[in-house]
Amino acid sequence: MRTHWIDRVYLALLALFPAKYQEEYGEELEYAIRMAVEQAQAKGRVSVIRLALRELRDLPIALLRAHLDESRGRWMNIQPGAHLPDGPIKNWKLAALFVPFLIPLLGAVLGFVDRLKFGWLPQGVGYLLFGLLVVTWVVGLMKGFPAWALPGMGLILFLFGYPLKLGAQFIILEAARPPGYGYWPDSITERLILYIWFNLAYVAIAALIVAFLLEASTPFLQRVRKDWSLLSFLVFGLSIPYVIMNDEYHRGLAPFELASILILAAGAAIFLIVPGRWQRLLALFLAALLAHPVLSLGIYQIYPAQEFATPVLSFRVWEALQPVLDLPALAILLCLPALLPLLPASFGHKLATSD
Amino acid sequence: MVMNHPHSSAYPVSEPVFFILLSLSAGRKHGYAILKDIETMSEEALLLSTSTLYGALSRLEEQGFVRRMPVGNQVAPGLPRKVYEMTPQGLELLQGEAGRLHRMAALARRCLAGTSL
Repeated sequence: MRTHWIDRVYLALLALFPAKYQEEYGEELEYAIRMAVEQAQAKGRVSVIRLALRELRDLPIALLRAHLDESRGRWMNIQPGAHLPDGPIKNWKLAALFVPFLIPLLGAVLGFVDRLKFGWLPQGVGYLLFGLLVVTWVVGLMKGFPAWALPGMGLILFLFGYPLKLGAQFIILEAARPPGYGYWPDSITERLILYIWFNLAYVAIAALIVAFLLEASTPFLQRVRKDWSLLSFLVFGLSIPYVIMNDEYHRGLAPFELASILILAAGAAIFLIVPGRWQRLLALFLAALLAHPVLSLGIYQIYPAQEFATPVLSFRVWEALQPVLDLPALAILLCLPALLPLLPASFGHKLATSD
Repeated sequence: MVMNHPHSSAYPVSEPVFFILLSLSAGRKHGYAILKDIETMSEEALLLSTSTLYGALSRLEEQGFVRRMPVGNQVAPGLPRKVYEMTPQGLELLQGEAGRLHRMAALARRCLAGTSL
């Protein structure tokens, strides 16, 4: 059967509808347009032109509505954490998950408006959020590290790991410097070489703490055996304190802090939505990889306005590098859990069976 | 009263939706048959495009006013394998809209009584 040009154009335009819509209604639309063309042809050329104009007139609106309906349906159906072993994370648990991001967010916002002197209100909100964070820690420990508590628990990892890292850093520095040498080498390159060792020490310390947690908490081990990306989510919590750490030394960093923490929070949100483990890791990895350099860029920008600023460029560069110096360690730590399936089945088995 | 109706947020229904429901009140039909039915009922005053028809049908289906069902194995070659049927909610919506239009027409008639129109 010879097809009319309207049929062919219409079928080509049908490809512009969302895939699901095409799948649902494609066959019916094809049939309807074929019949409409046949009938219009029987009535004459004017009818065919009217039909073509009518279809073309209504098509853009129909396309727009189909795409809007599709995207609305997609957003309505999103269930954060639905792909994780414990299932969807709802209500107060979802709020608790974002508390670790809200605290620095509040700090950054206050950095914007510090001249307005809100008084007790921001402090009160800050204490409330901190209280919620402590509750998250306690409940998270009791419940065996559920997904909603992981970024908050990552802060505990930081509290234990960071002093140990500083200690390791001190030992490496002492071992590396020749007699009569200053505490830090003058050249940035030499300092960066030292940071390779610091990063390795950081990875080792954090990995040991995580291994201890896995050995000590059977429910946590069972969870990460089902989905290793949960461990990356815990490690992701380590990246949050870096956003706040530079605050007290640098005036005017608040906008960059805000951008940085929003990127981290977006990474956590994407983690909860995407279905695949590697996709989840990628979301966290990219968020960390983007958030820290944003802070570096901020420090580089505002450095000349600081009281301690000097005109020496290397000082400015070194200052700006601070937020990204530990980033390689963080990147490695985020990716290490992907090796977890290689962990011997006997790991944690003794504790698991004795529970 | 229409405002207290369970589907009050759906009122007033658009002209295409009204005619689609009206067409389906006579029984289940496939999309093109609805299109032709509307043409006939409206005396060609309302000529729907296929994209408008299927857009309206998909929304009506999503809202539960219309149900889409397979014809079965006995479908003739080339004919769509799905037909549309009005649900009890759809009938309720149509009746509510018809009642609303009836009251509005009655009101208009009362107000316009004695005028030259």
